[in-house]
Amino acid sequence: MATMTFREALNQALDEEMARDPKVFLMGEEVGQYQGAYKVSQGLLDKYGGDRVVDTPITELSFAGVGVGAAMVGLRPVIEMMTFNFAILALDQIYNNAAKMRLMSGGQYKVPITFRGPNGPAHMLSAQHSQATESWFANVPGLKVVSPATPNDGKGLLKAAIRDDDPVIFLEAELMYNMKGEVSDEADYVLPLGKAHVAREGKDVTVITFSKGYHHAMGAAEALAKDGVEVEVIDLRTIRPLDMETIARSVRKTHRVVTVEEGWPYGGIGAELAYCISHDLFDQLDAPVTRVTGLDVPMPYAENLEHLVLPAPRDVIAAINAVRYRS
Amino acid sequence: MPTIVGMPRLSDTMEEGTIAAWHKAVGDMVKAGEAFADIETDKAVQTFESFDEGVLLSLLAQVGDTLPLGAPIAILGKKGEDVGAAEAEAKKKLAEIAGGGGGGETKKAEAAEPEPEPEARKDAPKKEDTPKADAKAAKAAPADDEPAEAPKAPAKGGSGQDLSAPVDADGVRVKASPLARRIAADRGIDLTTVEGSGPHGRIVERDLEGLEKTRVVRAGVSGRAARASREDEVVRVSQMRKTIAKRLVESKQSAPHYYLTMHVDCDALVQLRKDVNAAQDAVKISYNDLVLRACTKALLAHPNVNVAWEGATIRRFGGVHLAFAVALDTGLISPVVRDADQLGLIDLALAVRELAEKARAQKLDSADYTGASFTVSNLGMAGVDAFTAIINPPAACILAVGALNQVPVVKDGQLAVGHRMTITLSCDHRAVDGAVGAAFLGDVRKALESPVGLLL
Repeated sequence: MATMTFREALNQALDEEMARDPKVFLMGEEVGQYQGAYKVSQGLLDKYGGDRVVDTPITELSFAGVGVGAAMVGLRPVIEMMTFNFAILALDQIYNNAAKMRLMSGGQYKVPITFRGPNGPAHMLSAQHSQATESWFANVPGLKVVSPATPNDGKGLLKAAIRDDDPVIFLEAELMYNMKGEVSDEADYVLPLGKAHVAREGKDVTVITFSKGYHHAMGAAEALAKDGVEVEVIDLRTIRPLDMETIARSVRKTHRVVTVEEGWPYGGIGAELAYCISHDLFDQLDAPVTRVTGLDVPMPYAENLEHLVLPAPRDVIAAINAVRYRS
Repeated sequence: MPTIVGMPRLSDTMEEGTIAAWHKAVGDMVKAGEAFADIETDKAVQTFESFDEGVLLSLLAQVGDTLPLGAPIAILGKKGEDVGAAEAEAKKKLAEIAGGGGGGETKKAEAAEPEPEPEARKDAPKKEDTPKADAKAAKAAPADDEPAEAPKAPAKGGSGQDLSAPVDADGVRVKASPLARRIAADRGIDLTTVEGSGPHGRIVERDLEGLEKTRVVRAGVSGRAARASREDEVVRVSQMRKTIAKRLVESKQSAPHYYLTMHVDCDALVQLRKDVNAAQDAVKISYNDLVLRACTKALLAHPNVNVAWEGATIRRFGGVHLAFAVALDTGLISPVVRDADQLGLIDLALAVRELAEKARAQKLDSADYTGASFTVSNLGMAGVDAFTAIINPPAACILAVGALNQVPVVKDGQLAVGHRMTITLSCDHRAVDGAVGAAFLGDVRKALESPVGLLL
């Protein structure tokens, strides 16, 4: 195991996949000459040249479309969105072409493309550049949505995303790029898509989360362990498709569920989880599935308000207490 | 044969349209494809180009009319053609569309969908929608040894367990978490005997910890069974109680009550009573007699309190007709000392004794308990310190008298033992304002605190 930052782990994944498969190429704003807006593509231009590390103009819809076309004819594009806030401009290509091409061509085309970049609330970027987009993408049949929580998962899942034959939305987090963690140094470390990870075992409450929410959940679990409460933390890793098997196994044990995400509550990932759990596992529940989410407002710029909007471990603790009927 | 033109469908989602303008007038020639009318749909105002040709014989809708799809709006035909039959037909068609037609369709649609299993119905297409690489399809697959948990199985699963919410003897749904219901079913616990500790009394898992089968629980708690065997007694309501109920409800609901409370220093009153009772043998004067006498004197000085609210008028009573509440085994009655202001203390006390006797013997005439101008209710002898009474109509006020107690008091900066009594005046605000009531009550207190006047 080597210790490295999230960005280094992602860089390794890209590097390994580009070395492994000449069909893989990286395209996006500032990915080449500038070495990546967040330095995830550092060194790749030098190593693989301008044909495989392509700088684009500021035209998200266009280069997303170029990527879809390239994927349709057999390449494996990795499209970097400088942030997923800018991917909003490319939604027509992502929703209408990438996600639906396989169906609408009667299976004649597959679209093995990965859209990746930072997603979710960052720090003092205000309403338009600080938001969680996962539930928007997760709503679209035909897309897979992945959002890793640790450098190790980042590497293993990005490699899987690139190899997957369907379009994958790969959501990183700006505030986690510098986060360090142990990363497997297995020669070809790939984590399967659609499999959740029980990051911490416990018998009292199941906390289901992903990405940054994972760290809030682990913080809460740590704090509650001192009081003898055993919290099981499930890191979804893949948001769509949902690994209900792992969730069910846990809920049959704990009977209580808290979901944690930074996005908005309405129609969020927690809402889908709450439905699936209450439907499939109704008899197992001792309390309503309870969500921890960001507040239902556009992100304020002011730092103090930002703290109020975003969930924190204390919110997770409060929710855990609520489903345990403790105040 | 004239052609009836119907409200056209100009957008996929429109269900009705509003005539915004007619491009043609009666008598004009309308050609196919020609602008005929402007119609406001759910989306926009659109020009309706005629599908038919002919002379416009009749307009069946005015500008501004909103009509459902297909409703007749105009009749086209040959010049001079009779439109009577067509108009009648149009009317019939409109009635069909407005009444039976549209509604019937909805009903049919509802009938076509069987009521049960809405969840399963919703789910089925969902699963087909997401066939590829979606764990939702796979999630139903994991081996599940509990039939009740299979996603599509209804609550009453193959195991034969009824996991629906139990209902207690009063028909109230017992709130229990789904897990608690399943545990109860597995262990044979009757949830109606369990107390829930969750929100709104919800029974949760921890409430079932350590509970055995219900019949064991019942056998163990013998006290519960013994108590349960006692029966309630249902007593028929007497006429007196009916009257009490009716009059008090009327009073409390119609008269806006407010309450004034004062503490009365009764040191002098205690002494006076002793002296009076030592000085005569006619009757043993009670504190209640003294209070009645004080009220009488104060009422003479405050004619605005000795009143009745009569809606359009307020009756100021000529004399003081003083009612006092008497408790009976069967209820309560308030005999009235008529013209109490004309009686001295001793005569008042004698009158009160006489009426109270008659009341207990249930021999009061109706004149003996009606027409009160003021009422005194005394629960002091029952040990009540203070209370508020419900006004006894037609009087506008009632005085509630508490117990006369020895209490520590501050006299000249020193702690001493004093006699105190709390009196509370209930007033009908329609007739007696707060300041009026307060002035009256202050004079009652004064009369009791300097009680020599009660003898005059």
